Amino acid sequence: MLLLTTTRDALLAPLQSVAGIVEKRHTLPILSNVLIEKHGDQLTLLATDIEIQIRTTTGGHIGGEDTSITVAAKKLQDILRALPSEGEVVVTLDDKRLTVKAGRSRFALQTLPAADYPRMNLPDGDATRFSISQKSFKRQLAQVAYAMAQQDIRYYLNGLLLIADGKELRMVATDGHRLAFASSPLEAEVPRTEVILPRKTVMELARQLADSEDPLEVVLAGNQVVFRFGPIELVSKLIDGKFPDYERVIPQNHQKLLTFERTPLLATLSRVAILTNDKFRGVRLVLGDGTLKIASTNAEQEEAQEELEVDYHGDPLDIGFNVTYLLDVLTNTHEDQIEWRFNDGNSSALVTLPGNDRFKYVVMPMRI
Amino acid sequence: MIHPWLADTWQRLVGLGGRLPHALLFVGPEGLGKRDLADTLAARLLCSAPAVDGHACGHCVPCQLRLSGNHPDLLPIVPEADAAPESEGGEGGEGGEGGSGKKKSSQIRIEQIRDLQETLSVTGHQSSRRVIVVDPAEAMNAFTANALLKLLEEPPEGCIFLLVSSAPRRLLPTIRSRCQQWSFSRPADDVVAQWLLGPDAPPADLLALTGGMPLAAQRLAKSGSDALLRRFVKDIAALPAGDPLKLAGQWESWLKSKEALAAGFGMPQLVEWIQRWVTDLASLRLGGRVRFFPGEDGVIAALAQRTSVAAVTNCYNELARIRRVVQHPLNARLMLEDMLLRYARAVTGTRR
Ligand SMILES: [Zn+2]
Repeated sequence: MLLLTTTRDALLAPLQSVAGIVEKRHTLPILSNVLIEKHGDQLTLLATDIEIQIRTTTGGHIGGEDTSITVAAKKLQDILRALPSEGEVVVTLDDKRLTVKAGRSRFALQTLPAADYPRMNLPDGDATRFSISQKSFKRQLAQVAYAMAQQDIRYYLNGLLLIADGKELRMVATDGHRLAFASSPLEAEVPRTEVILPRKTVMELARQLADSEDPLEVVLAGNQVVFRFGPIELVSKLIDGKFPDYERVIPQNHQKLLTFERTPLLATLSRVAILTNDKFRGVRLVLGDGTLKIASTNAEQEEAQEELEVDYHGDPLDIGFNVTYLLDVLTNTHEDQIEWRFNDGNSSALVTLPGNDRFKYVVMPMRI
Repeated sequence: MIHPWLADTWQRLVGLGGRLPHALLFVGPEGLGKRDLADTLAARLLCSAPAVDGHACGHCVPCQLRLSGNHPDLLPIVPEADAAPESEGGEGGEGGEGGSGKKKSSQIRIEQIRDLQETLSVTGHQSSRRVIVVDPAEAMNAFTANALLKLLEEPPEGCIFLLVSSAPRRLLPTIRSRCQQWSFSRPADDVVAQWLLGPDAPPADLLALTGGMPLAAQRLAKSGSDALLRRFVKDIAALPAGDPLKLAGQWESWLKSKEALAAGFGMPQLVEWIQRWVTDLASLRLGGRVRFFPGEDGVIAALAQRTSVAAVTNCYNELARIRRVVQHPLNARLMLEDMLLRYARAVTGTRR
């Protein structure tokens, strides 16, 4: 039975957008398969790693009766990649075998029944919904995602807190040493809803969202969240846990304010970082009247030092940081000017953008 | 399917409905179907429309996923060695497996619990209901058990833990106290007698050999062990007249034969049989009754006549000691020779 006639690229592109999450080894073997479903004149592809499920539609001429089947995702992907990009591809399903024909090539693949494929139930009933531009959401993700923990036993830190509240969308991530907060406006008002997105979902969204004004529709339900953008529907499970109260972590009333140019400081820190200790990556910042001295030493007693002219006239300050935490924030923000607030060498510092309170980054100092 | 001797328990479990505790511990000897009960309960808990008798419907989406082995919310935690498709938990007797497949761990590793924690840290797939079956629970060392304990103490929403153990004394007391315990013992004779008339029932002598554990007997019958058992009885009964060293040689090749390998029959089981044979002998000598080999009571009685109380209890103790090292015999042939020599000495020794 004919399923689809199309060009290689018209099938490979959607396959790649769902197959990215397929894991090579999984306790449930059917999860290495992609679910292909023909319904009317639509052919959809669906893949899941249990935590995330991605579905998309393909183009091309679609024929035959409605049917669904699963087939090894990586194999299908490898076959399509190896075919000429503009060539015609014909996909048929007969006798539980999926056949891909292109030119003189013919590949017959084993299948498993679609009924055995664990699909997530889509949430129905109460849910918070909003729409936002893909570009805005993607940018906001980038502003905080680097601060998520990785494989922390406090599993709620291995994710990103998303809060839709009134006309505001807030995102928070922390690994216990630093915390990033970003907010953006929403057009319509929504009831306050909080979820923790798993790390993998955040990474997948960052990979798949476009830098365009095209809309992203978000549905926050009790057990899962649905993201719809372009032809893609991404459903993610949520981390079940209580995220730390971020508002208490963000310090108020700093005495010292330093305003600086992002690019030169980033360059300086990248150079000084070369001679930091591999494990702790500490740099020492000494702030005096109009100058900022940045220094590092490593286990071999090698040293790096650099001095910048800055607009600062407060009391002198001597403070240490993990340079990675500083590089992260400077790399993932894009404004020219950055503000940095301190109290003393033992309390956390706050990084913000001048003239708005939509971004906050709190970083703990370290003893050098 | 619920075995007749578990029907009452099943009714009580079903009757609990939503009051089912989040952690249950099924304890009792091997071969009673504790794991089957746990699996049947798990199926019921995941099913979206269980039947009136409490069983999973077998048709709904969750049932379909479960039956094809793809239900993401059914999380069996079993030793790698037991994870092979056909084996399901309890194997015949405590010795069970032969020497094959040594490399796979017979322990539940701490990584399995860590993966479980990670899996449970996100919400469920079909719903928030997730069922974790830990079998055998005693296959966890203290570190692993403590990791599981954290989950039992603060179970994620919707999670139900079903622990199965044939050796509950080897569990951490903290694990036991976190679970509602359900104990099972040897089924009543009349229930088993009824079951023995059924289509799948094993021969009665196998049931006796397993100490009255119906499923252990059924597994023996299914694996083709009854032919092996008959040979064992014939050989051991003939021993007083024969040469123990020669028999040890024959048995060594027997253990390597195709029939033995196909039935999963190995040294641990053979040793168990010898020990049970001697147990019956000692029991009869001391005025008790034949328990494991009721069909051979004539032979055993004749042998008992030839031995003394001291010799037979001594032999029994020596075999018990040997049995403790049976998983790691230095040399199978030497071990068999040792046991058969001791046995032959007990039954051919001068009567006092
Ligand atoms: Zn069902």
